Amino acid sequence: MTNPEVQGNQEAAMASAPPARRSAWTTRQKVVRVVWGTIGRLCWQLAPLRAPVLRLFGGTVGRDCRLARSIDILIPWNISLGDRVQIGEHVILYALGPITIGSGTVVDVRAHLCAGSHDMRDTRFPLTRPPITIGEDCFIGVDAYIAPEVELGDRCRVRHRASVYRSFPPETVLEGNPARSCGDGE
Amino acid sequence: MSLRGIIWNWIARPLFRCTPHAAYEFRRQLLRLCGARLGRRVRCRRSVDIDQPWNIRFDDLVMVSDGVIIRSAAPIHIGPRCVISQYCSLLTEVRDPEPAGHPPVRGPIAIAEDCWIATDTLVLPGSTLEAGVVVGARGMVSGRIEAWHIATGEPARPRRERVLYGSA
Repeated sequence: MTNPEVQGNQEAAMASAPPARRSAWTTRQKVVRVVWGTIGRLCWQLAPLRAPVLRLFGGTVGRDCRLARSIDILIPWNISLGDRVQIGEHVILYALGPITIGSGTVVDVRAHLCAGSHDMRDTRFPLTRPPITIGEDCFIGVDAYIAPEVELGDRCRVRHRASVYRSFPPETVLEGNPARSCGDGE
Repeated sequence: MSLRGIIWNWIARPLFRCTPHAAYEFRRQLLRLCGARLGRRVRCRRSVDIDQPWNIRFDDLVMVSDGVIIRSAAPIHIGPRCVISQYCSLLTEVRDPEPAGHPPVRGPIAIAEDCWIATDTLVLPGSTLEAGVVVGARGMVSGRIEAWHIATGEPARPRRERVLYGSA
């Protein structure tokens, strides 16, 4: 059973919504994603090949980055890392939108940077690709979550298990779910 | 990297992942080959990720469920009859959030007998669970938790005692 009033609103909403494309991806992008998920993943097993392979697929990687073996990168050409970035095991870089990580930032085990969402004003939930920007010398703790459209300033510290849903200025120490600032970090 | 490290990372670990679901005995042998000390009928699912098996000691009847991450840079001891539920992380090395450079912090993890660590729980370095402790889902364990208590939250605190059948 559908509520006729809601139904009418939905139809009006659909009429005013931008037309949805059949796929969010071009054929070329689909092919590159398959190659990335197979051959790219195989090359990723060898530590010296990681940065060159990521660059080959269109990512930006600075000097002396340390990337762990079990990192999960969805779209390589949306990744841009500064110098000396360290990313731990099982980190998820869900880079539907651009993910930028500044120099000297450390991302610890199992953190999840999710740069993808859906437009909930449309009942077809079209894909949106908001960016995530992490400043320089930041820290993202074990099992932390960074939501889409979040921008963290330089030297922010996200403690273990925190879930960050909005942007914070530089030098903030974040804790909890939803993450809040906890003083200036002593 | 040591010889057993090479054997584990390049031969045994990929094999471990490719085993059929029910091949618990074969997975036990792979872990033992690389220096793990396992008791009788220890069950590890094929999706468990262990990085240094020579540092683990699991006693009889321990069950480690799907998607568990075990980072054993320092020793991990799990006592008999414990259950580690799906998607838990047992980490003996994490980065320190506070000082510049974020140096790694290491510490062993000791879990005594009859414990249950529920789903998606994070166990930080240096944690000790005394006998019979239950940690609620999505908890974060840091430090020691008193025996026969149910602990929940981030960080997990003992909330109440665990009562067994047959006790008054």
